[in-house]
Formats: sequence, C-alpha cells, structure tokens
Amino acid sequence: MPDGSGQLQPFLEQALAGASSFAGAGTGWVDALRKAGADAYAAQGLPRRRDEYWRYTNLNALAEGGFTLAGDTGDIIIPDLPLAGAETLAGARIVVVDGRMRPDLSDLGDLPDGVDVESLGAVLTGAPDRLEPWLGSAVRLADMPMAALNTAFLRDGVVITIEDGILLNAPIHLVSLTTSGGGMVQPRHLVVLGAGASVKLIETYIGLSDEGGFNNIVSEVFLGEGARLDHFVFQNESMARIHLSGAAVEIAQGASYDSFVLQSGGLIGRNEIRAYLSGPGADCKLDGVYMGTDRQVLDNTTYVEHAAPECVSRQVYKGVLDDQSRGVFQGKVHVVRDAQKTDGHQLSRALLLSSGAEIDARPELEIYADDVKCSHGATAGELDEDWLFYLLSRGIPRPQARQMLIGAFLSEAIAEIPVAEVAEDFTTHVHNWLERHIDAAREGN
Amino acid sequence: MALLEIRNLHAEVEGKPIINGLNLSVHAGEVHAIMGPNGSGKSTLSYVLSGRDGYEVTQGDVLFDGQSLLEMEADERARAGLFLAFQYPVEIPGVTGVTFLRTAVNAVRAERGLPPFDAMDFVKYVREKATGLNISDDMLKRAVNTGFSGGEKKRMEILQMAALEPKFAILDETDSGLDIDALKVVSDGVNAMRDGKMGMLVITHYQRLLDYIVPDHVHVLAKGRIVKSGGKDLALELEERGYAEFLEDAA
Repeated sequence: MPDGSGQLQPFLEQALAGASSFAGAGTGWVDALRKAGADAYAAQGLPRRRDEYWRYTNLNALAEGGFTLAGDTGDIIIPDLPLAGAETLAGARIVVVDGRMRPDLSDLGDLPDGVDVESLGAVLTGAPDRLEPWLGSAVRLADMPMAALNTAFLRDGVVITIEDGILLNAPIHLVSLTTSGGGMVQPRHLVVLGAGASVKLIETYIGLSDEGGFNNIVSEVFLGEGARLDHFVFQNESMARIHLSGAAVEIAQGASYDSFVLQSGGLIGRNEIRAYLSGPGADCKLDGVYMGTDRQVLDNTTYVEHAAPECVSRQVYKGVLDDQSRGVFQGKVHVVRDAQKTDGHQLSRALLLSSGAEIDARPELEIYADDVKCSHGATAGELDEDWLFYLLSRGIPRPQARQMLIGAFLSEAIAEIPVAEVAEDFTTHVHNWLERHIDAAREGN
Repeated sequence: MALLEIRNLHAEVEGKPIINGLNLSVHAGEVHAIMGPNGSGKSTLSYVLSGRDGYEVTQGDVLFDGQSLLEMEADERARAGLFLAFQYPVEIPGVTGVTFLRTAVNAVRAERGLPPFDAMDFVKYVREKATGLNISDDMLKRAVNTGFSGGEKKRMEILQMAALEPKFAILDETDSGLDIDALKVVSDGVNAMRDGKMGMLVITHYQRLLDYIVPDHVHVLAKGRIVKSGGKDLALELEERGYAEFLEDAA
C-alpha cells in the first residue's frame, strides 16, 4: 500500500497481522525487535533506484505484494543434491523447507558438545533470552530495508552456536528448499562463533518448483576473537523466483570470514554482504561467481567496514552473462579514520556472451584514514578472439572452445575455495551450466 | 593432384587488399618456403589458410586434399588436417596445456574415426611426442603458454603439431624470437615429421631457418603475390641481395 509519501510497503500488513502469532510473541524484546523492523521498513518502503544499494536491481515485481507467507509444508522428498562432494564431507545436514527449519528432515550427525544447531522458532518459543545479545544486533535496519522486512517477519530459521575454541572439521550443510506452496519465505539465520572457534558452513538453495515466489533471507553472523568461518553458498533457485539474501557479519579482532557465493538461479538473485571488521587484525574475503541467462538479474552487493586498524579485505566477483541477463556489482570499502594499515581490495570481472547482456559495476572506496592500501577495479568484455581462434585452429569445435574459455575464466575464481570437494562441486556445476547454455545451436553467439 | 592448391587468391583485411592473385601448389611430402619482406602478406596468407575471422577472401579458391578449404570453418580445417604454428602463440590462463591438447587431439581423432584417448593414455601419447622437444610434464600441467619463454612457446607449437599429426602444416615465422639452440630443437622436431607425406609451408623473413629446415622449393612473396620461385638456393640469393628488387618489380 502506498502511504502519503508515495512509498510502497508490500508485505508489511502481512507481517503486522502475523506478529502476534509468530514464535516468541509476548517476549518484550522480541516484540520490540519485530516492531523496529516493521517501523524501519515502513519508513523506507520497498527499495527503489534512489536507494544507494538498490540502484541497479529493480524490485518492481514485488511492488504489488502478490506473495503470501508460506504456511506449513508437509512431507517432501529431498532430491539428490548437486553438491555431491560437500554432502560426503558434511558432518551435519540441516534442512529448511519454505523458510522453516525441519528437524524431522535434518540429520545433525554427532556434533560435538559446544556445537548447537536449533530452529530459531524453537529457541524463540523456549528460551528466547539466550538470543537477546545477538538477534538483530548485526543488522543495521536503516541500511538494509529488506532485512528490516525480514525482521518484521521474525519467526523461524536456523541458529548455529559454537562455543569458544571448538574447531569443527566436517562442514555443516544447510539445505534450503522451496516448494510450490512456498510463495514467500522470510527465514532468519543466526551464526555465533565463540573466540577461536572455526567451522565451515555450506548453504545450498534449490527450488523444487518452477512457480514464482519470493525468498527474503537474512543471516546474522558473529565471529568472536580469532574465530574463523568458511562460508560457501550455492544458489541455484528456480528461474522464476526472486531470491534476496542479506548477510550482516560482525568480525572481531583476529577473526576471519571467508565467503564464496555461486549464483546461477533466480529471476533475481541477490547476494548482499555487509561485513564489519570491528577488531584489529580481522579479515574477510568475499568472493563469488555467477552465470546469468535469459532475463536474469544477478547481483552481488557488498559493504565492508574497516572499523579497526590492520584489517584486510579482499573481494573478487566474476561472472558470465548470456542472452538478456544482467549482472550487478556494487561494493563499498569504507575505512574509518582510525583504521590505519587497512588493506582492502575489490575487483569485479564480467564476461558478456551476448550483445544483450549487461553488467553494472560500481566499486567504491570511502577512506578516512591516511595510511592504507586500497584498490578497486572492474572489467567487462567479450571472449578473447585470439584465444578462441587458437583453440579453433587446433580443431576444437567452437561451442567446446567457448566452454573451455568461459570455464577457465570462472575456474580461476573457484580455485580460491579452500575446500577441494566444494571447489569440485562448484566446478561441476559450472561445466554443466556451460554445456546446457553454450551449445552448438547457439554457435553464432 | 596437389595436397594444397591455391588458385588466384585475393584477400583483404578491413577492406585493404593484402593478397593479390596468389598461386601455389604444394604436393604431399614437399616443403615450400615463402620468404618476403615485412608487409608482403606472409602472415595474412597463414591466417587466410587457417580460417581466421576478419580475413576476407574476395576472389580465388584454395583446395586442400581435394576439398574447398574456404568453405570450412577454422576448426573444421584443423580437423581436416591443416595445422598452423603461430608466430606469436597466445597465453591462455586457466586452461591447462594437457587438457587443451587432449581436447584438440580427441577432436581430430573423432574426425578420423578413432576412439578418444583417456587421460592416462593421453599422457603416454604426449610424452612420446614430446621426445626430443625438451618439454617437461610441468610445462604441460601449466596453463597454455602462460609464463612461457619464446622458445618454450615455439617448442609447444611443435609438440601440438606432432600430437595432431596434420597432413599439412604452416609454420609462420617459427624462427622469430629463437636463439640458435632453440632453433635447432624446433627444427629437429619439424624435420622428424618429414615423412614424405606431410606437406609444409614454411614462412620466414630470414634464410637462417632454412639452413635447418631445408625446403624443396622457395617462393618470394611481395605485395601479396609470388614474384619468384626457385630451389633452396634462392633463399641464399635473397639473404645476399635483400628484397629491394622485388619491391620495385611488383610495384
């Protein structure tokens, strides 16, 4: 509904109407948090072009608010997952269906003491106060309007807490599925790592239905001093679904956050990460690859705040865009005045495979300290004709030659993934995508 | 019939005529050298024959093993047995040499009705072909030509030629950027492939290469056509007298 200022606030009424029945309703701080989310979303409305972090990704498709919050989903059959290597490696598999954690479908293996995996809904119902220091405290509502909407819908998701000093070798695999009944999902995930703890988290997003829908996923991540999270995201949602993901990550002194996001799904696929390097010597690495086709919009939006000295941030996003698809990279590295010896780099590289494809790249540095090493860059181009001719001249058929070159472009980024099984899974997915999309019938591209 | 028959070939690049009525016949087993000054059309000829985009044939025909070469795409020409050793081989980051070469060899084998090599068999095959070329396994594991010296790149070209077993090879200024030792390794590799069947077109600016790869015939290319042909002694004459007389004659 538009209010007096002409803003659109789709879904707000649904959130307000549901609030009294959501898990944890009646607990003062939970009610207050939901209300703060609703208020922030009401004040900002659905993001528009003039909003700094939404300049290139248009949410008009959501303006009518045509999606309804998913209800309970019954039994489903979990399909074979594309990440075969990660599956064999994983020590625990958490399943989320239509935005709700499903303990009945999850297999938590034997996680050691000090590692807890729970549904947010259960904790909010049973012992909400445990979450009070964390929930909502990494998300800055004014900067993340869609996370504000998610906060208004606070109901379920996954809570992972790891106590100080625990090093978990086997990754945790969080599998999120959407079904035909899952119009709109608003899951909220919380990951808290104590000092010195270390874990690998793999997230897989898959749509089981070709119907349209809307994912509005928010994760809050807290890394204690010296903690380390390797976070891999595989987003292959249904091509009809709008998939928005926002992560707010607090990184304490000496802690490391390593993220790699592969996106090939969604009508809109958006990966937004806001990383706050809050203690000296903290570092983050935000990487990703994306492959767009048809009229997809694939967006990587990052904000890295160097709030303490001697922190390091690295970002490399590489994508290939075919047909009428569009890529977006918006990244800001913000260095506060006292964050001396900051080392911050960001790079966006896109390969345009058709004349209708487009990339909007806006890397930005905002630096208030004087002793820093920062750089940014963005490139966009077509496949190198000299390379292509070299392969052709050796007898390699054109579609295969193009696949090899595009695959090589992306595999350079994937090679940065420190877990071999995950890197192989991602590489396999890239190759399958290339074989499907770069075929003989489209040789003229 | 000649293995390669070029008839009254005219070609242009970006609307500019470069090849202007070139005729040449190369029979199986023969090595022909094409010499000429800079800008005479030597490299253009190699690209026209190998099918590079942007090189437009405006007149004439080229028959390769009885087929019209100009009707074929670059990759089809290669699979039909035409090979170009590049003057400047490109570096392709992210594509490992061995994967690239296996893909190419298997594409050519498929065309010849042969089964593809698996990874293991291919390593054996390529090691055998690399004998004498001083190419380490490490060079093959690296990305194609990436970080290679000039000599390493040229040796890799010759390895590709050996592995693909073409019917006809064009060596485009293979001597450029090579010191005398590297030139010898490369020439030995090429000579090892002279089996009385493979035809070769050796394009060079200098006579030096022809001391090592001794041609059956030498042609002088000037302003896009062949202005003089002779035996291997013609190369020595050119070395002594230069190309000046042909530039004037052809004008």
